[in-house]
Amino acid sequence: MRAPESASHKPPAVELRDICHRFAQGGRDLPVIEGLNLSVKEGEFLSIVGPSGCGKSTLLRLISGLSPPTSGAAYVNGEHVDRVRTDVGYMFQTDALLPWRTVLDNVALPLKLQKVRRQDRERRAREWIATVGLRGFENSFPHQLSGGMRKRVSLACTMVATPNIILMDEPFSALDVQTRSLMENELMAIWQRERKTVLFVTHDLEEAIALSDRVVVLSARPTKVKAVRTIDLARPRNVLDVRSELSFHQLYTQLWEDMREEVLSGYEQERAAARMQGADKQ
Amino acid sequence: MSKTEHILSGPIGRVAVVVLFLAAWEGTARLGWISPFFFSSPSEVFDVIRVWYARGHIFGNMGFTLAEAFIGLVIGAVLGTAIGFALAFLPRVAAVVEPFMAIMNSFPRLTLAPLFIVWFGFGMAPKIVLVATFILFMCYLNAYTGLRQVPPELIDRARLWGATRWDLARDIYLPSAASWILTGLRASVGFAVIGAVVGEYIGGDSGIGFLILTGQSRLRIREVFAGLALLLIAAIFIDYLLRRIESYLLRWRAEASASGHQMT
Amino acid sequence: MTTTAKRIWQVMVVASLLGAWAIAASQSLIVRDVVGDPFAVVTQLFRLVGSGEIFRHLAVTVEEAVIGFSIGAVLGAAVAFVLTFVPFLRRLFDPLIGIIAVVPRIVLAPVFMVWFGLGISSKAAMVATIVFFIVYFNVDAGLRSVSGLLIDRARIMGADKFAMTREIYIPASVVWILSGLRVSVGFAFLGAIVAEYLGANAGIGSLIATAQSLNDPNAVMAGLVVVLVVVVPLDRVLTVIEARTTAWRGT
Repeated sequence: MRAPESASHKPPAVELRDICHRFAQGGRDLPVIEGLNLSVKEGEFLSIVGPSGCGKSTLLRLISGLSPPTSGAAYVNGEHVDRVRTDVGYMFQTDALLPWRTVLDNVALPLKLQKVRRQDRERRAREWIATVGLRGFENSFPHQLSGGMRKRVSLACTMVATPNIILMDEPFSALDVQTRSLMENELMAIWQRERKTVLFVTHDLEEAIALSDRVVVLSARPTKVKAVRTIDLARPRNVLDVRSELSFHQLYTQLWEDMREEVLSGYEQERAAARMQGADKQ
Repeated sequence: MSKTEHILSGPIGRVAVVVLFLAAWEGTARLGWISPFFFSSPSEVFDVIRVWYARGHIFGNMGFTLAEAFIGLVIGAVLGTAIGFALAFLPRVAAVVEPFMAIMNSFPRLTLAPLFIVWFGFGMAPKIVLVATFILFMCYLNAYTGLRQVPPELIDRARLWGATRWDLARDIYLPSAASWILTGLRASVGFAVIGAVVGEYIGGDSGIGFLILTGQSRLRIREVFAGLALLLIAAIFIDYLLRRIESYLLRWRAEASASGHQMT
Repeated sequence: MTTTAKRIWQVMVVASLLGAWAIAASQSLIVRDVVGDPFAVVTQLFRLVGSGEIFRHLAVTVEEAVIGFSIGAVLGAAVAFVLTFVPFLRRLFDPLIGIIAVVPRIVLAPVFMVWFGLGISSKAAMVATIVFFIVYFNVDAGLRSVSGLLIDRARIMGADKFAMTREIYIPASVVWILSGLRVSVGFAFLGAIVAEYLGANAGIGSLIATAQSLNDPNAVMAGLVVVLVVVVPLDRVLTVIEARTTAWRGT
């Protein structure tokens, strides 16, 4: 399919057009996303926030081609997504490491799958392991590492394959607060250097503001874009320091206003679903 | 914990408990407190083993039994794993075949021994088949479960890195199932030996099971105990060997908690 | 695939296997001699049921399994309790139990034949031994799994040792006995039947063993079909019970 024309000369890194998505759930057809449009510029760090169950993760799966939308289309670099995009990096909430491979073998796996020569993949894997601060742990197995360290390995795995676009699905939500800030700063440093396009899904407004160029607020189901806010805080940023700036609080208040209603209605939906499930069981 | 208790729980204590038990058995037998007809005594059992050894009974029969167990184990493991893979990747076939597998699985397969003896005679073949039927289901179940337990994120990620079906099978499915299969196999080894020995009980002319059965038919409990003692030694040795192999192959797994708070 | 299509396929698989067997048996004397003939197996079954012979044998096997199971389960649970509450005894007996656990209990059958003869008691003893270990290990694991947190909470609420046993340890172990029920019932039958193979004057196992010694594949098959018909549905039922009673454990 031909790429859609866009205002600028270069096509957007990611574009979603009239996306609708439905799930069949217990015989009921559940619309999750309905008529969603979104465009992400190249090199942009964009966060997606929204109430739980609004299909944030589904969006990332659509962009990566892991699942097709019910209708509408996703475009990556102007190309219609109709198969799994192997040029996209994806970080899941779980660290998704292969437990039987050492750190080095885990980080080298994407290169192996891309048929990179053995020496090259080892060299590149070692570089990224050093970048995420895990030199000396090359031969450790995942179970020997802490949660934060596993997350670093997972980040190295994502980056080593040199993706153009990185999709992150609440990657740090399982970490404790301190480790989390460390990882966020690390991610910022890497992003500052590599300038990849990042789509970052989170439920944490502060995290979204601290990291992003723009924050997209999604509505409760059926999901649409509720608001888009530009974050004009200076870069490079330190995610801890930036939280004490005055404009940070203004942005926070603004975004929370956008979200409040949606969170409440999302909560209502979850309770209704739980009640229905309870009724089904009886 | 008191000092005696502390010593008891160590490896020396374990050996001491076993020695103590054997001494008590021997002592009560010598004093005539227990009937030698029913309980024999460690020295009598040892004598039987010595005589068997002198007559060259032990290695031939042990080799026979272990060969049955080993060949059956390999055949069962290969077939079971293959079936597990086939069913995991062919869901349509799985849907048809699964109920049969479930029925066979809940059927006490050891009771098939007489059937195999009628079919295959008194040699090694019926025992090998019995062991293989036994192991096949265990390996099939483990492989099938292992394959279905692969976290979907692992698959998704590998696909995004351009993994082909073959890549997925080799780099993700097989190693993931391997840990299940290996763990299952270690548990199966005991069953393989049972299969072989019970097969020999029911019809055979050599093997440790045959020695034990001969003892039973002559009402010589010391020969029954001697055969069982040989089995015990073999079982402990094999179990130790397999633990070593397993912990090497599965060294990537977190150690099972030593505190003993495991659920199963 | 729809359920109907699945059923049709399943019936076809069974029918073609049986058909192949029947044709092979009708064509070849060797096949008939070695693996028997499906029609002869059915005839045998009718004869066994019609004469009531099968019920006499079944009653004996069930009796052995039930007696052995009761003794084994009670003793297994009792020993697990005693060893949990008297740590000194645990340290004394753990090594012995560990060693016996390495030997599959079913190979002990000849010992019981010598001790108790060809009657019911030798089979009941075999079954009791098998069930004892299953229940012992299950209850032991159950008692260990009672978390320190739960015990601490009960103690803060002022529970004494009796209250703790009644409210925490016994419920925990009952559920673990139930969770081992399916396995132990299956093994109870297996133990009874295998012990009957080694020498008995009644029971399903002795029926099969006699047929084997007469080299009669049809009668062996008929006996195994009876085992299948009794054990498999029982296993299904117990699986459901197990799933219900252990639902709170999650997986």
